[in-house]
Amino acid sequence: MKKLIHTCFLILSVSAVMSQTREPIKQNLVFKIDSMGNANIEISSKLNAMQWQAWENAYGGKNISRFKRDIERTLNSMFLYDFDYKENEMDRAWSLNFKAKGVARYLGNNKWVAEIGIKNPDFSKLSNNSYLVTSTSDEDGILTQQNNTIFFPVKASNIQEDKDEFGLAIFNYNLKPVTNRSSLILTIGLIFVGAAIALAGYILLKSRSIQPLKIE
Amino acid sequence: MKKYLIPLILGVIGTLLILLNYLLPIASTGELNVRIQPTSYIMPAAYKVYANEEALSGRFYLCKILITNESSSALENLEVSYEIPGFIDKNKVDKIKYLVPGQSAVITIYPKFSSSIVDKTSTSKEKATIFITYRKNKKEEEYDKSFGFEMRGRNDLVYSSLPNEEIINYPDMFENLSLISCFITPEDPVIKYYTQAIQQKILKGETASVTMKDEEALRFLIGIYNATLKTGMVYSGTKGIPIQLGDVSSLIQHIRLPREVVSGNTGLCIELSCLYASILSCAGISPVIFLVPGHAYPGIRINNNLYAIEATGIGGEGLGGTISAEKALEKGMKQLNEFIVNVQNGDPRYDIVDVHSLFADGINPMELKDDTYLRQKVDELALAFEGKGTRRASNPQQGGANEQYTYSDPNETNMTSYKGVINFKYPAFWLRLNNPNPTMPPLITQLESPDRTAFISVFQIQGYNSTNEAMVYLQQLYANNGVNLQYQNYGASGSFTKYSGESYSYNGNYSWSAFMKRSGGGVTGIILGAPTPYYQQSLALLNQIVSTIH
Repeated sequence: MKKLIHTCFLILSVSAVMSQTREPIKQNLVFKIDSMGNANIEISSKLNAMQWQAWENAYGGKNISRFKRDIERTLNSMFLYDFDYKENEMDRAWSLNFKAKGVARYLGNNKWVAEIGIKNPDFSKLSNNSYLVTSTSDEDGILTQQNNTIFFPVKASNIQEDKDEFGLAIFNYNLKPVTNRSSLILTIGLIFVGAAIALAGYILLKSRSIQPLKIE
Repeated sequence: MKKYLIPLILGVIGTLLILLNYLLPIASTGELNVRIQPTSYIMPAAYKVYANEEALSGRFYLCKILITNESSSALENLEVSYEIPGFIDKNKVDKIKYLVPGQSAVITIYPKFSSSIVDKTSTSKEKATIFITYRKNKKEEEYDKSFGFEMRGRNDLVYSSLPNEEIINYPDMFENLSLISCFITPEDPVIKYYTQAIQQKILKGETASVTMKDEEALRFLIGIYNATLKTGMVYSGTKGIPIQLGDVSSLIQHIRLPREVVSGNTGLCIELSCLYASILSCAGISPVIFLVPGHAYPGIRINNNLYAIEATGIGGEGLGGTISAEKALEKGMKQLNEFIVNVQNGDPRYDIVDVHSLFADGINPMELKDDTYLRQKVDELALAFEGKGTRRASNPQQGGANEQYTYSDPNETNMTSYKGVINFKYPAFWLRLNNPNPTMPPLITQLESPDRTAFISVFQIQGYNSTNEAMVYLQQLYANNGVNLQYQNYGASGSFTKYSGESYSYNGNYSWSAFMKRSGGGVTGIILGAPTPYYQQSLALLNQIVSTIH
């Protein structure tokens, strides 16, 4: 994901160099990985005046499709769709939501691996199913500070952070794979059986309660 | 017993559904859904970039595949392979152990071509085939699909991968410019040999890469210029053609490799810059190339200082002579000062190629084989270094007439006709984009010179009864696109109304004239102009075009 930021903010390099202040570009990313290994991703950022001007010139207003294109090109290991961009000019802030297919792979035996693609990551565990991964980069005069929050499926367990051969962040976790269709059929089946048992029990109880008393 | 009939039925249905849940995988008839996003073309010069998923964010690939398991059975041992007959044999790229029902996997194929691909000198249509094998319900299944693409020649640089309608500004037009480092070949045995000849016979020894002194590096830069001057190397054009590649309509430039520039003893500004960069890199000095609209010149970065030289100062007799190395350096430094001002002003058309930085990012040059004939050619040229062999007949002149902002291809003077809502003639080699900007529907055609020093915009503005109203509308439209238009009405010019003005935007300032007339249900016309710094230079050509409007 660092690559993404670098690409997206290359356009800011001129202003970054001009400003000489080296104020880092801060960016928050939220990954919500579902039980099928797909994810909802939200990127958001709040910029200073100079960064905002450069951002608006590059992507803002009516040219946001260029931002979408750059993100699609950068995240080649995923299939992205359903983009939604929002911008708050008053606060010089923007956010982009999109969905990604193929974020995590199933390895069998209930084991999954999610390749997040963050370089030089620092991991912090937030809860049983969420992690914070921070990273900082300094390329072409662009200082970028990135906070990535990753939410795993609620039923995921034994989540372990790691790095791949290129030093990019990966997560291994356990999760029993589910399929929508079979779980739906199973649920309906169980509801029917449950209803049958409940109804039979009710009829049984009712029939017992109206039996005439026998006086011996 | 009858009263238990309903719960009995419910229980039976529920039990059947539960059983069905476990039986479904066996009875499944679902399919594997495969979606392929292929490339339109491959540039052999960049074969190392295609093979490297880390280079340029991995955006140069053969294809991207989305595989979704739409069956209700898990797929096992899913393997993806590909082949490009004549270039790459069937090659496995990925193995997915399991793909559970409903799950998707994305596979991007980075083709690994052998270095022999750079022997390819012409364009051809090629085919790639994707093979997917997997196991489903203990049964082996296969899937394959082919797609076509264009394999360019090794000298071709496609400047943009964007579809025609997506190109809206200068950076879009030249988004592949980083690939220029693929044409810089310090490891080429012929270039190494040429560099050694310069070090030995021109410089009589040098220590630039060891001492890291600015003066020594500058001496090397001047030495390269003198080497090209002494061998009678001349400035010359090469083809740059707008071409359609699948969805992509782009300017493709034929760039001669540094060894071809040496052996042919001629080069265009960008080719001379690549030659300088190759020699400098070979000698351990950090080379840079400065890119400005319509021109490129080489330089060095040493001790955080930048130096530049005007490599095209070698000119040629047909171009009015040459300038001395000292003058070329002086001119290069003057251009460098202008370059820095423009970069600080945020003009995206001014860019610097830091060659070693691009190499470090994986944008590596092609590997070339040694060539005895070319070595002999270098030997011949090296004689001229000592004043013995081929050399220029005329003596270098101060302030030669070489004009770096023009290409010398004689075909460039040919004019072609634009026929449509308005008719006029324009240079045949100009780049033409139809409906270039979706946010500006009235802009139906954009014509630009390859060096971006002149342009024509053709408009068809519906629903306006006067040209003044139409111009106000255009002013608003441009304002919405971040461009501020200022203009004056200069009255009638034939059947047209003439306006002259300037536009200001993040992309720079432009000077222009507009010729508008009422036509049908609206107003039609053209705006023709140039970036303000080049307006005077382009004026003669623009006037020539104006004289053909009817």
